[in-house]
Amino acid sequence: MRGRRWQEPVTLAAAASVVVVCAGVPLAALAAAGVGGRAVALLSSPATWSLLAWSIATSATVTVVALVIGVPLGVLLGRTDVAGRRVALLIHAFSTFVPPFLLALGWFHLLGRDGLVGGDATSRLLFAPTGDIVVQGLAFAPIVTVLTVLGVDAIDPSLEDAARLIARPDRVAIRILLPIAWPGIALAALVVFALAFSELGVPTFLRVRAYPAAVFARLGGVSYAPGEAFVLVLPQLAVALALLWLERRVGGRRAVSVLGLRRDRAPLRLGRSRLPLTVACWSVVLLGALPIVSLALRARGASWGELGSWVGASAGNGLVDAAIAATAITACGIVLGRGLARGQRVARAIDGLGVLAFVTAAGALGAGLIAAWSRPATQVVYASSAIVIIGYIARYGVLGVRPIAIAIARGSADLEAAAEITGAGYLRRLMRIVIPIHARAIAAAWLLALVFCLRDLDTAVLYYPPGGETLPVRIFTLEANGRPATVAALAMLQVAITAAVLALGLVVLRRRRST
Amino acid sequence: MTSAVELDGVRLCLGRSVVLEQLSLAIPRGELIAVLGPSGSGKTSLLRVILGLASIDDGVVKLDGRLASEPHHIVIPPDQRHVAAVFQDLALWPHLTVYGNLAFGLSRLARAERDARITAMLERVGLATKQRCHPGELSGGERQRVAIARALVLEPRVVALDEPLANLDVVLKRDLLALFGALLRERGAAAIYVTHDPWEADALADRMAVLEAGRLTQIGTGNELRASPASPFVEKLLSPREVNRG
Amino acid sequence: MTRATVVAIVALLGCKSSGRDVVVYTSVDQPFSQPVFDAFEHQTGIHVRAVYDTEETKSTGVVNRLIAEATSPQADVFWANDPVRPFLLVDRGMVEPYLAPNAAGIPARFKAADGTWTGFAARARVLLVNTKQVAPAAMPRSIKDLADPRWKARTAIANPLFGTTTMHAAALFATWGDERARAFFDDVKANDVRIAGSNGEVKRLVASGEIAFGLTDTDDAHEALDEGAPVDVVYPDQDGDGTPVMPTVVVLLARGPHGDAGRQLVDYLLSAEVEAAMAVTAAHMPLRSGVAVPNGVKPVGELRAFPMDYPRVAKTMERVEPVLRTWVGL
Repeated sequence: MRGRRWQEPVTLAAAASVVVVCAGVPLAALAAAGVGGRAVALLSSPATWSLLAWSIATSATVTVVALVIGVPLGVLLGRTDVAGRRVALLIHAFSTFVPPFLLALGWFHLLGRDGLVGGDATSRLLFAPTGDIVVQGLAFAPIVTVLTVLGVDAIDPSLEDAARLIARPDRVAIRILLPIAWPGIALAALVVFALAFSELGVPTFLRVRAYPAAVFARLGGVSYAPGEAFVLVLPQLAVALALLWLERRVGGRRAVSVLGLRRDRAPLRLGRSRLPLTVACWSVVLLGALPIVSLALRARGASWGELGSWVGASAGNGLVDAAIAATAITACGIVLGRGLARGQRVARAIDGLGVLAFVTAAGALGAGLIAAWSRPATQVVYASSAIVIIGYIARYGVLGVRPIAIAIARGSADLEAAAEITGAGYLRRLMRIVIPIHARAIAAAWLLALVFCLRDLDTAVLYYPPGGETLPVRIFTLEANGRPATVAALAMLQVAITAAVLALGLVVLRRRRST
Repeated sequence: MTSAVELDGVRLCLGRSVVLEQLSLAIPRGELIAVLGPSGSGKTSLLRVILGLASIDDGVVKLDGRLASEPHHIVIPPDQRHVAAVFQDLALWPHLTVYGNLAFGLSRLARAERDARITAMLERVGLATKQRCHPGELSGGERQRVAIARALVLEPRVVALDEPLANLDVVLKRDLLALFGALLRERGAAAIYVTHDPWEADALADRMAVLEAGRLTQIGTGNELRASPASPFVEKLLSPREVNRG
Repeated sequence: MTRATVVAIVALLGCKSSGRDVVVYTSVDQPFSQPVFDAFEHQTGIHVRAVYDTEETKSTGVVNRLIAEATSPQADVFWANDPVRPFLLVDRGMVEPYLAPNAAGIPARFKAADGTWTGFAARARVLLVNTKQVAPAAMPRSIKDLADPRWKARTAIANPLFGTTTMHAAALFATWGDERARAFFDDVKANDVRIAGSNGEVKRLVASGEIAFGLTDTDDAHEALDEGAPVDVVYPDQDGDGTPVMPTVVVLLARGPHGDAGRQLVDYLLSAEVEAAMAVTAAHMPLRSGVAVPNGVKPVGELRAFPMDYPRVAKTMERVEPVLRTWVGL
């Protein structure tokens, strides 16, 4: 056993290096791009801080909206006997995997002045901060719902059973399930806030002020000023650090023993409340699906014969890049997630870096990637899809680490300790104990990373290799002057691909549950 | 006299497996019955049926003469059966203090009465000073006592205990066994005590029921079972060597 | 995942094409430029790998990426949708002079004598007017109508930090002078003009009736007409300073990895065939004579053009960018 002591630190270092190279190096390259004297002017400008405060307030409101929708829905669809809850969850989750910008476009086709059901009043509501908040809140609520479902599902069933003996289902959910599922819900709140805080497409489309637009103006405007973009990103990073501190402090490290997990968990019965709660759940679910329906209706006028030429290789590019990135993210997530669950400092630090990269304006991250990799020595990487994959790992690495860390933390450390006692080294314990026991959570993390990479727009749009664009980028570049029906049809193709991936993933996850 | 718990021809399937088959059992009020059997014989499933946490496929379950479960239908939900349980892994809620764990089921009581009942119960189990502790801060034996206190503070009609003393040392087990027995008898509730250990069963129970492959092989006092064991398993289980192992 | 799958994936990443390639960055809208590249591919067998700009960053995003990649260029050709931004590359020595044979048919004022840049297939800056909201007698005739109080909060322009609007703004500063140009923009802002994300969005706002009229480009305007929207197109200031005319411009980039293929693509883009195609699909006005102009597209010769010294406008664009950013509120 002594000879294998190197395994853990080396493996941890390797996983950490991947995240540092993908996320840390671009941020450093951006900083090194040179800031100059404008930094003080930028940071001392009231307009900068006013815009930042506005974006923080908007993002916080979006998070609250997403939590208000997603937490109750997650409990109802995850643990009760709401009719058709599995189908409802599937439909509800769809919208998360569509680039939010396309959802805004769908709402426009629905509620714009000449929309399907729109008029003056709906148009005014849509193209306003309220519209921005509602569109983003509905778009991101499924993240909260899904992570609540996963969090509640991972709770030791005996804890729930003990409460069911003495309390009604609603009290069981509120006093027992939700508090124990808190780490998952906290992660969901962090993800939603980060996405809302760095979202550019929706506020731009709805003509609402947003801080990322200021960053983008330094990269896409007349003067290319990555150094200024980095300076503007600093307050975003500060907000991210504050969020990280808050989440770690409030989330806590409660360990839960997992003796005798049962598979035969009956749902909590709602009794007389079943019908009204079923109606309420389905109403929320269908509301979130309306923009996709609107896009589908708009797509009816598309010339389907031409669609192939507009899609080109973009769909395949996106799938391959996303699958590879998700695999790398999950592989690192297993190592770093286990480290985070066991309280290892390196893992905590890398997790923090992952959060920062997740919150950083995508444009700034893109500019950093260009600065770091567009060099003769690294051209082979920069000119290939590898640069897109690196960008995905940088931006979405945290989605691999966190869910796996939560799952491992919920399990008993004794399971691994028992293997260690028999002489199994770190790698053997990882492969034969940790991964098999948490296979479902790992598969779920892979699926989560995959769909986020599939839906990505902001990260890859600035530096995708020529001919290597993904479908969301293709839709985005076509959107302004492409025929609306064609753009809507491409959007539906994006939805269909994601739906297929999601359906396949859920089938695999269900099979794992029953083995 | 109406039994506290009555099972009649109960059948329980999990997937394709038949976990309980033609099980009939009556437990009078105030009786403590120990349920023994090999692993996988259906002991825990029996508890879950009585608690209303599992839906049966045939037969009926009655509590105090009232229909509680019928095939594929839980007539009285778990939270309305006036039952309590001590789970195998104790299932103490980690985010609530000892006080919080006990208070959770007493929300309908006025605060003063709730506090009084909890204080009295914790004094009874010797944990009066641990009210503000979280389960993670307690020793194994202390957690066991909190678990039994949480069950009994509700003043249930039926208490189900699923191997509550597993993994404890002999001395602690003996002390807790004495405490459990005294508390259960004080409360006068019917109790079903699942255990692997015939010594525990002998020390605690009024009667023993032996399950094998989901069927009730034999039920009776310890002496009755020893005198006329209905199966080789029962004979081996209650042989002097097995009993003295405790 | 089997080893064979991994190998296949790695191969996929690096090798998108096994034949001849050319890499082009373009800010010409993809619906119009992609068919041109497809036709070039079909004719020559050279695979075109393109990077398209987004509407929101139109032109500047692609140019900025070229500048960012200057130390290790991967593009061979840049096809810009305006005649000014290529100068940001010319001034940085990133362009290789090339006198394409097909450039001979382009009038001298739309190309550089030394072949550093060549214009073709032009657009104009126009006012797109919603005919349900604006009576014929009240039609705007000048960009100054954006500041007219009777249209308060009922007009739109695209974000002047990006795209052809930047070029238009810079042209105003270069020709009118800073003081007059600033005053104009202040008046427009005081008139509650809506700042849209792009020219395409201005088109959408006008077509849907959200606003009465907006400043956009001819290709966006004709899209709205093709879609049957209740709109009309006004070439502004025909009685005054004139309408800005913006040829698309092609440059051959220095140190591009596929020099020969790049030259072939430049040649093709400057052909009459492409100008004719752009006239039909994108309502772009041919600069060479003898190319058919579809209905609704005005020939360049019939327009009073706003005077623009493209290199000077390019320099002005960089200079006034901070002013524009403040104006937008960023």
